[in-house]
Amino acid sequence: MEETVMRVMRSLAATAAIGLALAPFTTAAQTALPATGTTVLPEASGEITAGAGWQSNTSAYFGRYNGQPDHGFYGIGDIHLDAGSAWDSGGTNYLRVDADNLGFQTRSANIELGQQGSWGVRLYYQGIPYTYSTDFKSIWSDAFGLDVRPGSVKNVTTLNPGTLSSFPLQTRRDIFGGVGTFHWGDWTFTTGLRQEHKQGYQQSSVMWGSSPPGVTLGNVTTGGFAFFGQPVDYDMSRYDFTGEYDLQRLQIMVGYTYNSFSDNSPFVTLQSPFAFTSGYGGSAANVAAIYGLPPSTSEHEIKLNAGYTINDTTRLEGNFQYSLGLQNATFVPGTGNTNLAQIAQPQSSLKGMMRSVYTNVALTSSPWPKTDFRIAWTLDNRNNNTNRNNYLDYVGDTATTESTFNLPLSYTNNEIKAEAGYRLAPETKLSLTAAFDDTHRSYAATSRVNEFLIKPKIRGALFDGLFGELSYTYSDRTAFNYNQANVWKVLTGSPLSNDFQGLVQFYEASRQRQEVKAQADYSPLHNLTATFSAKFRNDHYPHSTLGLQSNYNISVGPDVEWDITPQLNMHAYYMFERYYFNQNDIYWTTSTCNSAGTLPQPSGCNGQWNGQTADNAQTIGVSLGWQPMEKLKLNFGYTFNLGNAAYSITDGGLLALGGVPNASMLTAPGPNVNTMLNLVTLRGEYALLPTVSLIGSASLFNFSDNDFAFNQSPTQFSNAVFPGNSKLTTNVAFIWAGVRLKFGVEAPPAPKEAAAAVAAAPARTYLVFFDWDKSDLSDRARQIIADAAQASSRVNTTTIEVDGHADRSGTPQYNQALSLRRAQAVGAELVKDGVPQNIISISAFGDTRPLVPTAPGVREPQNRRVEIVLK
Amino acid sequence: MRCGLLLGALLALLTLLGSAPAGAAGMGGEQTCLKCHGSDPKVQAIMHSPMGLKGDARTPMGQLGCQSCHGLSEDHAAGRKPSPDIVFEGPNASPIAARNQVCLGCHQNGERIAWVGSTHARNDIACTNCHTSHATRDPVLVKQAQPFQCFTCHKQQQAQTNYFSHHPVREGLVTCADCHNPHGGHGEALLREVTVNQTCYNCHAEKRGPFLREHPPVRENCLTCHTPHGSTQPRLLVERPPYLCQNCHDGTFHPGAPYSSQNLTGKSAIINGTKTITTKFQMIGQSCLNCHSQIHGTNSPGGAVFLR
Repeated sequence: MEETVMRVMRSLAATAAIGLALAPFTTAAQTALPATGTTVLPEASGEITAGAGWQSNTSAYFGRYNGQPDHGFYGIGDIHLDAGSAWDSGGTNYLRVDADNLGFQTRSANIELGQQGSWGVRLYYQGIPYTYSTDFKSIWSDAFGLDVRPGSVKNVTTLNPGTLSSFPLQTRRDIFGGVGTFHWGDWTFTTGLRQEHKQGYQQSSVMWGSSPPGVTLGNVTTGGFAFFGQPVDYDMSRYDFTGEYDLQRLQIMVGYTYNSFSDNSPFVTLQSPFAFTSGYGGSAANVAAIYGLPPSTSEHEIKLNAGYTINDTTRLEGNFQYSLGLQNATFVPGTGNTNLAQIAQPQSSLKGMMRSVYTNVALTSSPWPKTDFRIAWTLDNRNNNTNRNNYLDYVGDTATTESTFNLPLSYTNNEIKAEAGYRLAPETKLSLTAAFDDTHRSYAATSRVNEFLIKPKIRGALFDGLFGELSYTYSDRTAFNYNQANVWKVLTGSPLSNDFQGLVQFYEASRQRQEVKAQADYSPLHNLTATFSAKFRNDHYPHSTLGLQSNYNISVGPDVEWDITPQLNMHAYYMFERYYFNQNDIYWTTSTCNSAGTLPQPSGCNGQWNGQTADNAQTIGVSLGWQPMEKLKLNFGYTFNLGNAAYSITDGGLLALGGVPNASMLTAPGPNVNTMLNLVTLRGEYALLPTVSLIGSASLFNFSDNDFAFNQSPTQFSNAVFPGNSKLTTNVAFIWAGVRLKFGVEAPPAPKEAAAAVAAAPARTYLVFFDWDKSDLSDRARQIIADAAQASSRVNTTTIEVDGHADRSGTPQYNQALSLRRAQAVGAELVKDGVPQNIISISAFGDTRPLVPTAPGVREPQNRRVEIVLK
Repeated sequence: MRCGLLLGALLALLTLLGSAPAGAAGMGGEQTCLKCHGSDPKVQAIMHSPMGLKGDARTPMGQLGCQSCHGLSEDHAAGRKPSPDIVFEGPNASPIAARNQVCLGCHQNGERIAWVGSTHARNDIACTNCHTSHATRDPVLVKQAQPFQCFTCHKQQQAQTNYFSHHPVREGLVTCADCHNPHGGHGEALLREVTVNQTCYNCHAEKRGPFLREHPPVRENCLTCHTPHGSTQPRLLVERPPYLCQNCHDGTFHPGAPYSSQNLTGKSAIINGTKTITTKFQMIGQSCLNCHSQIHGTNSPGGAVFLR
């Protein structure tokens, strides 16, 4: 046994040493390990794939998540290993290694080992890169530094794309973790540590200079906004411990989790966003502001979850969670203006504390046949215990100060939900859901909200081959105690903004929601399923005269899965989706109106406009799998997505041109925005030897995007600097090829493929069943007969006996004739399937030989049969 | 080389452990069925799955054989019935409740504790709709393959993962089960955590707070502004800003103005013969977030409107 393992070990070491030349290893593993599970330790199987790929063009969007946006050559590598005690050896050891995407920044590794039923350890790593842009333009020369103050602006007088800083804008996450599991009696303990580090730069922008852009046209030296790479550098740690108890009727889970978030970059210093007066050039107004990055936080959480099966039909389940969130990072300095002293705050750090309680109790029961119900109560309480204080800051980083209270938002939500189901037929269920929800909020515009929901649904088989579901949901949400016009003033103690009467923040406003969902699965043949799904959801806000008025979402599309032959299968779908929003807003009509927004405004100041946005998306997916010969597998995939967003503004906008002093009013909707994706992939695997395959893949990726928000050259706008090639339109070809080596015990293929690829030894007896008083053949019956016909050509067959039977309902004479008709029908089908007539022997036994003995008159399905016996 | 040595070392460790106590000897129960079904690779597969391991005393399959799941099936064994007592798939499949009861006999703890009464359970989903027990490795437990199982029913989400803006599901880096617990959750939409925000914070912990300056809809539900599965707008936004922001923020000061995105050259143009019109910077770049860049919350005393 040890020799076996040593050979495997030597092979593994040799494999790594000689890189791609893996043949000796595979051979060694083949001879060292048994072909089937016996008492030899261990059994092992796996595969190693190595190869190389080439990408034609550099593309931020193609490489967005694989971390390889650049054109050129890449390595391809995957390793999978399953090893462990043979199933019948009495041992329990296991080792599993998975390493994927080794040539890419998305590489991941997962190693599991242990003794099944006793203990286990899992170690993992995953890289998650994100590429925003490969050539991000910045006005600051020190784009990678924290200090991107105006002093580092380069080439302010001859601004053109060539003189800007250029750097890739990327972040990446590296996630490491370990999980240990230990079984002790009826308990399972799990403990895990997960460490994630994220680093890089993300897109952000800042307004700077002498005046806000768009008001006074100038150039970048006098005002505008510019994008910059905001540094991202933080660590997330998560530790958890869970104990699970399982004893027949009772399951308990207790757990503790500690989460910490540590930001490693305390702040970013930039041009003050409101230091417009003198602009860049070194005047007193050209001051720096300090921007806060997410503060470090931590959270402790305890969980208690239990389920108890009261009896065969009833179960009670409850969940309790308490969490304590803490944040006490020192406040970001109030200003970066070195001419001003720091303002003394009521406290130097937040002492932020969030206590959350979440409780859920549910009773599920089916006390009577065909009927079931569930009733559940949920409490979600977020209690923000952070002190409320008046904090001071310098307006525009100049000597003027203002003060603003913080808003420690808290809420309590209670929900009671009852669901009842009634089974109209074994597969058809009618259900009704009703729920009532009550939310209280503090420091919010709406302090109380109630919502009532009702949802009838039917799900089941309409007729043989058609299965579907249809539901309708109506929910009515009522908002109380709206804080009316003064909401922000009241809450913040400062007129920072002003929302008008009739505007209720939509997420907490009165709302009527209706939703219809339907899905139908139609399987006219055993190898074909066509699905049609549709959803329509409409929200209407009856008490909101401003802000969001209504919105809807519709999605509809077919999906077909078809195993055309055992060697050829396909999946294709289409989906249309639309998101529509309709809103009313107001604008300032004359220059006499108070632009600072103090309420109430003089009469005649408020004009109203109406806007709609409609985002449409169409998606097509096609995949084909084809195995033209035993050694060759081909896959073809095509994905298409078209996003189209359209905007319109009415009752305002251009109508507002008359006498309007504010350029904001000179309005027209922009052009439609389209994004289009085409991706074609052809992939093949050819089995050169049983243990060696050649694999290759070719993809063509096409993406176009005309979004005017970003499709601008860096200096297209004279008063703004854009990030450059975030314009994502691209064509990329990606090809790769490699060798896959399989070793060890051949893992049984997946079930679906197994049926097609490996035929079991043919049976000699086949049973065909019939409906009551019927002798015609179902699809399933024809399939069984075809199997029997096929088997008769593969096993030594001299005679095929076809014996008809009937159940004991009806008279013996009638049943005799019925069983003969059944046998004849099967015989005829066998002939149709190519069986010679002269070897078929038809007999009829009526109800004299039941499979299941019954009383006379009983309609027993298993007795209505024809037995085909190959002799 | 290092990789090979590491693998070698792990395998050596495994061998050492191999001398650890063996589990209860198998009762040979599977032979009852293997007499007829032994050559079927699908039947063979379960022996090589964790459930077939005889050394683990907790495995009914390993200890008692096929009948521990498929029922005693005496009539079937004697040739009197075409099927065993419990059939998990195909036209002769047993009722879903009977099938699931077999699995729940061992698998009702941990993540399955809330299965009974959960959305999937109430909609007659069988364990075997998603799981394959007759396989050395259940395909649905393979990260890259798992979403496709969900897509067999969830067609809208299948399409959305191909939208311009999406979580990297189609890239194989994130799976449905990273956010959802298909066996039943305690919050909405079978989420793994009790609320939407708690779920999002698992990867986006920098948004967790509490912050000195909090944006109430952000604290309450990330889905106020974002959609999780795919969007035609950047950053998985539900609607294009500034319209998204103007759903709540209105008033005669700048929040409520209908901003122009005509004339995208960035230069002024004359329309209606007299008036000058320019694309507003609220329509380009990150829209409102060009200035209100810290919209998720900030620890700056001067960040009351999230400018810093």
